[in-house]
Amino acid sequence: MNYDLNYVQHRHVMEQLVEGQKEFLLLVCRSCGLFSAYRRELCHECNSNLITVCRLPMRGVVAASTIVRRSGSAEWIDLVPYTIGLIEVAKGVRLLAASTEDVMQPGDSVSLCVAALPEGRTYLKAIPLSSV
Amino acid sequence: MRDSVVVAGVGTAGIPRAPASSDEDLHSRAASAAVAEAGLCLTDIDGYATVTQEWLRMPVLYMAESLGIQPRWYDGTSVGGSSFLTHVLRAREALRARTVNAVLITYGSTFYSSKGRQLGTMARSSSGLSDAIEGRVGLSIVNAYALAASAHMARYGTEPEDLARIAVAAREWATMNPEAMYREPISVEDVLSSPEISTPLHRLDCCVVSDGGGALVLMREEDARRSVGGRPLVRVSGGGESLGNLHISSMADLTESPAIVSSALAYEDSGISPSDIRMAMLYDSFTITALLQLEDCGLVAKGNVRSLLDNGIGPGGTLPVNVDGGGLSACHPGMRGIFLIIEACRWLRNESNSGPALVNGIGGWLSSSGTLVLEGVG
Repeated sequence: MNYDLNYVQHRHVMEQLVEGQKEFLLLVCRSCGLFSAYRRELCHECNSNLITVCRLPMRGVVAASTIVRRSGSAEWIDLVPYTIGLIEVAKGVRLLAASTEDVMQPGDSVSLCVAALPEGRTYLKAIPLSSV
Repeated sequence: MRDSVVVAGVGTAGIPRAPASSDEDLHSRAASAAVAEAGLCLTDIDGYATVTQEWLRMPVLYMAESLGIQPRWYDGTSVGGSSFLTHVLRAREALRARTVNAVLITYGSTFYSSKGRQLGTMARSSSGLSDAIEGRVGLSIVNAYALAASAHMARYGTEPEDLARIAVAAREWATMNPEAMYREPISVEDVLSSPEISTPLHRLDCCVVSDGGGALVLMREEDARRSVGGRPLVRVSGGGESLGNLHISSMADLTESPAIVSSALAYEDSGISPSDIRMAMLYDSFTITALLQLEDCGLVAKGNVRSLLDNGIGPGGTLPVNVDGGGLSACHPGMRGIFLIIEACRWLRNESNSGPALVNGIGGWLSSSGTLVLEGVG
């Protein structure tokens, strides 16, 4: 699979998740080191155009979490309660992940994988490293 | 010396329920009340601003025609529930530039009667980039604010009881408001034992969903004094606005809202400092939203909200907050910003109350903020 080609076709790293993927493809500014989940041709921090693709392992630290008891989402309504975590995967890049089995707390380290809902839609699944 | 701009008239309609009305009816009824209070007719209105939820793509055009006005200045800025505060600031500039003489701002929604209580748990739209970024996990607006509460608790040791005390104070005010949606007193225990919607937020940490319409008329003070007669006016002494992020996952810090910037601008614009503020109307979509604004507007130090709550934000407290009962108990018809301004004006026009008042609106998903500093001018 050509991740780089896939990446440049997408506006944000979350736009297409593929089951089995082993890494995130983020953009990083070679001038200032800022990561970006968005596809940007210029660094929004230092205005450099030295932007390259960076491969990062699929893990991060929970910045915030909530256990969802009521859902208005047709895809998730039958899966409550489940936990949503805001995961910092690189400095300045946070992505939303969910878990139907584990509770995440701020500060927890988690591993991430791409999972599919019963109707087939993919999402980022978080697994606390303590339970791996 | 720049012209002083005042709120010359306010009006509301259909709070908290208006099952036999349309959204347009509520815009119109509130507008009629506000225009009459300003001592004007609709034909005197030459500036207009409004915003609606997704039901209209060109709300300014649609509602201007519905009201029968043809303004030569208009604003349809749409940055969530705080949009109306931005409208006031834009209108103030147009009035100061003498582009217009009387600006009407309206809102109306039968959200509760037409859609029920689903507002807070509605997921992001099922298409588009936002859905890809945050919709995959079924994120709703209450989930987003719950994440902010989680982050605040982790960083500052905030407890669910602290949030619950904000809901209790709002309900204390609501007991005195005959238009409030819920008026029965509640306790901290009631909040904490109400069903969890998205931890750490319980049902009573979440705003009501109501119907309601609101309207304001803004004029230059010299003109308003002639049209209004002897009724007290409310001056827009300062204001500021700020945009943050559309997506909660794009926020660098969930414990800091765009109100930090918008309130700083408003204080600078008005020459009034946080310690001068005598009452506050804050957009309490959730208890955490109000808490963040208390901190971010400088009314209490970050992480120290308990000290302010100990002194009281309810009736008899040192800082009256959300004196109509707030979105938490009184009125939240999809967007609440205009009602914050209206209630602050009503408070300031009462001679037994003192100002200045701070009005802060948070729009979207902690996305935007507008701040006004208002003063009664006799």
